[in-house]
Amino acid sequence: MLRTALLALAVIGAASAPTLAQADTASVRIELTGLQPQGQVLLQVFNSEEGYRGGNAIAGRQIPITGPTASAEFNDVPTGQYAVRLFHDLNGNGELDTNPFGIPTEPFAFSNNARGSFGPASWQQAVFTLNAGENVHQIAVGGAQ
Amino acid sequence: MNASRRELLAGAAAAGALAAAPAAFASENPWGLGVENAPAEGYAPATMRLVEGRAPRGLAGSLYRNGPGWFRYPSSSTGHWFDGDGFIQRFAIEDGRVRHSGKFADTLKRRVEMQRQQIIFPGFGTRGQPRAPVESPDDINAANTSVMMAGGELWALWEGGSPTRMNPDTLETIGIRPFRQDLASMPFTAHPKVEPNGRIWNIGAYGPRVIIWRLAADGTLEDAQVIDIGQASYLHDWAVTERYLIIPLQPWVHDRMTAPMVDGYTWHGDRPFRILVLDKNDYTNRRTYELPAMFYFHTGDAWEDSDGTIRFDLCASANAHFVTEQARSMIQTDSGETPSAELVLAVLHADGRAELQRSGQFGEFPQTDRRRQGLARDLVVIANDREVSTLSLMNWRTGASESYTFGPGQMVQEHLFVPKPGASAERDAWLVGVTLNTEARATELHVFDAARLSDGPVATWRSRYAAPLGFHGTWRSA
Repeated sequence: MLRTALLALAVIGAASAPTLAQADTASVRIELTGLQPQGQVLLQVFNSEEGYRGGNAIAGRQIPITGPTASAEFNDVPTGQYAVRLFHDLNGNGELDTNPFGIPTEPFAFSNNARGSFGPASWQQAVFTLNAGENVHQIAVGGAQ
Repeated sequence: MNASRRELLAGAAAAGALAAAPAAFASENPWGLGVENAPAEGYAPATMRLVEGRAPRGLAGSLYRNGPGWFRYPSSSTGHWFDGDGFIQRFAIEDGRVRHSGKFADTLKRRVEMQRQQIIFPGFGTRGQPRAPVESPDDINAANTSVMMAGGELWALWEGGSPTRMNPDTLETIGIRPFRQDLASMPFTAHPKVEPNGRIWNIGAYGPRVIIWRLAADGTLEDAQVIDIGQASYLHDWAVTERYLIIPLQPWVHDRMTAPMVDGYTWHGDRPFRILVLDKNDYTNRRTYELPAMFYFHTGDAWEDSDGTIRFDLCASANAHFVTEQARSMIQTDSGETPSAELVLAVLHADGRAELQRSGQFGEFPQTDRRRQGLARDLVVIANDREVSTLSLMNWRTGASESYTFGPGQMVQEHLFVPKPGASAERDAWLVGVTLNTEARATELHVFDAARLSDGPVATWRSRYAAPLGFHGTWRSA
């Protein structure tokens, strides 16, 4: 499902990129820490609660993981409110693996290091603001406690 | 007669189930002392004072016990006895002396709640804070129900998540390590069954499905399979014979998603108590038996006769009152009144009939000679701390029982069979366990000779403090 979303993102990104080059644009560097050096992180960016709930990301990245930290940069995006969700695809199969009872067995995380309660973190927990210019947002993956 | 007594008797009569013994509690809460917080740092090893008899020669090793040991912060408390943080106690017997120590399992739940000095997480009977950060069952794993030795480690067991690995010498927590990455956070009950050859069987329940674990003696995974059991019965304990896995399906069923979890269960007194029997070598080869409605937490153990009859003991009560009411109220105020559990033997005949053999003995925490796990045996010991504090030893073969009644103010807990060195008969064992002496406000360790239970303890040691009540333990020989 996420793979489909990422493909969709690529299309959306290409189509919408020209319209984003506005005066109030921002860049953001999302820094990931606490990683096991293997596999990949699949990361999605959302710009509305509706999109977040519906899984309709406005951007996404597939980040190979070779060390304890990694980052993703997004440039020329409108200022405003965003949320990020990601999972660490340790075995590189493109899926968030779960145990037989449906509990994720690979690390996942949200912006603000928000944590869900018997489900994903809510938009209200994960939302953060991008201001004009350069922004940095840090997310600890796998062990925010 | 108060409301709960009427309810109990009416329920028992209507269901045709077990008649329950009268259970009158003292007006003050006798459980109170047993559900006070243990010291946050635990108990450093301290010598217990011998107050009666003397240590039997040849008894050397450690009794490890686990149970909830932390219930309250200044502004909040757990909503249920079962949700206190796991506190592991060790009674080390060496050269006739006993040293007691204790330490909390260092769980995520405990770390977060201690840091914030309040109850955060939901539990079995605790609502927790709204939007408490829970991403997996192990985030709320209290590691508070039992302990077992595996691969040189001491495992603190819960039932909704993974074992918590500890150092048996220091009681330091090592942490949670999944048996296999794809099986992380799967449930693992506090009642694993260890075959005489060391192989470990366990289950873990999730709604109408269970995972069946098979581990080698060193605790490594041999096999894990998920099967459908048809109904989401509360499944705390189960039984294993040489050839079969026995999963009792009581009519206390989780049928609503609500918080806390205990409120999602419904007592269906009009439904049968089903017993699912699976072939160890082929889980699709199964039979189902039915008995009248009853509630249970614990089985003793199971065996099969040469004619195919399966027998297992359990402590059964008329309804689920203890878990739905008393185990909550005991944290707060008065303990109320609850039906005692009677020790019964479920007999599953090869022709599909099932019946109950009654013992007339009331109590809980049934224990058997673990060398005979899954094999024919005569004896089971239970602890009764309801009306009178009694330890009872039932012999199913002869129908006879004997008991020892403690003096007033003693809350008797689980007692384990500890074989005497070089002996093999069931009676050639000590019974080793704990009471909470509410008058002396102290924890006591007792050793009985299983062949002469009614003579009373051959040795009793007393600590200088009252440690929290526990649930279950294990014995590790020196």
